[in-house]
Amino acid sequence: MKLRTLILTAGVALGTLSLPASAQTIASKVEQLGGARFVTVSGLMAKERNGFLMLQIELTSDSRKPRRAFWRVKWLDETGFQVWDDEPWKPVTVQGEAKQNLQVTAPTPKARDFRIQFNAEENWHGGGNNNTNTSN
Amino acid sequence: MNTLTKISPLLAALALLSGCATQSPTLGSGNVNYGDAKAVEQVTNEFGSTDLQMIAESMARSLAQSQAGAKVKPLVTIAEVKNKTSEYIDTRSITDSIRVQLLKSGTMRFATDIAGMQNQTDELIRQNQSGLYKKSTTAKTGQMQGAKYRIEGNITSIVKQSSSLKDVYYKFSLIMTDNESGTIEWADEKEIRKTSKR
Repeated sequence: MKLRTLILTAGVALGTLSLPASAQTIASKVEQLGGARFVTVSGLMAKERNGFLMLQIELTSDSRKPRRAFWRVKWLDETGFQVWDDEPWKPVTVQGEAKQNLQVTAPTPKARDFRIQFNAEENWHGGGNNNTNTSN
Repeated sequence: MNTLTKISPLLAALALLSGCATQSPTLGSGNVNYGDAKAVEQVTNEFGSTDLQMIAESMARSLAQSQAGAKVKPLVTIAEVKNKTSEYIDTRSITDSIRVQLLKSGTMRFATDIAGMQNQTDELIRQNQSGLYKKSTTAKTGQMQGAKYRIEGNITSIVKQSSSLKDVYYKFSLIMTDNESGTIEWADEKEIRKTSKR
């Protein structure tokens, strides 16, 4: 089993997964949509398993209350070309002052790189609406 | 610069009057809007498009990864996914999405399932028994391949409500069974919780 791991924490790259040199920080891998006061992407790990890229995304909430965020991944090849359709946005609820890991596997072995689209804009305004929607 | 600022509105007005305003390529009164099919749907807390998409994505990727190391793409068929919730849920739509994603990923091949069998046999009969086709071009009978595995599962829900809150918990379970040996070779599940204030 091929296993290569990349760990990205606080903008420091560790590991050797063959990602483009420009993509070695969390900031370069996360497309933040709007502001995020409470829930942020605090860690990112990537490894390859049986030819499929796997990600572990760590979210951290500084709020005392559960906070919602939305995320999805754009899967790219070595040249930055998108190799899979847009994923559905996925809701996630992060408990108060907690860290939560999200794990996702690439849909195709063609995916060699990624961008995480992350939206926690609602957190900035201090709350949600009447509906919550959580998946595990 | 000052002169430009003064004449800009005038130029814009002239452009409009002369019919140069850009028209969007739409038809109708504008009461209809196209939305993002991938957006998180929170209209009500019944089973919705986001639930279907998340379940299909999660199951397809788990299945794809389970077969990623195989030298030969396994031939699979999809059996029934039973809806054990109190809602109407088109489970065929979920399994269709799973099949599409697995075929696109190139990790599995799919044999005609029970739902497609009538069309398959009708076509074989038409080609072989109507006398209309060249023998050399007809699809031969007795050549269909039997699936090594079948995928089946169920979706269940637990609904609880109080005077102020409604909570719905869904669990989608899927298994893949070896048709010959009867052993379960893969299983996974996806949970979703939705809560709404009443």
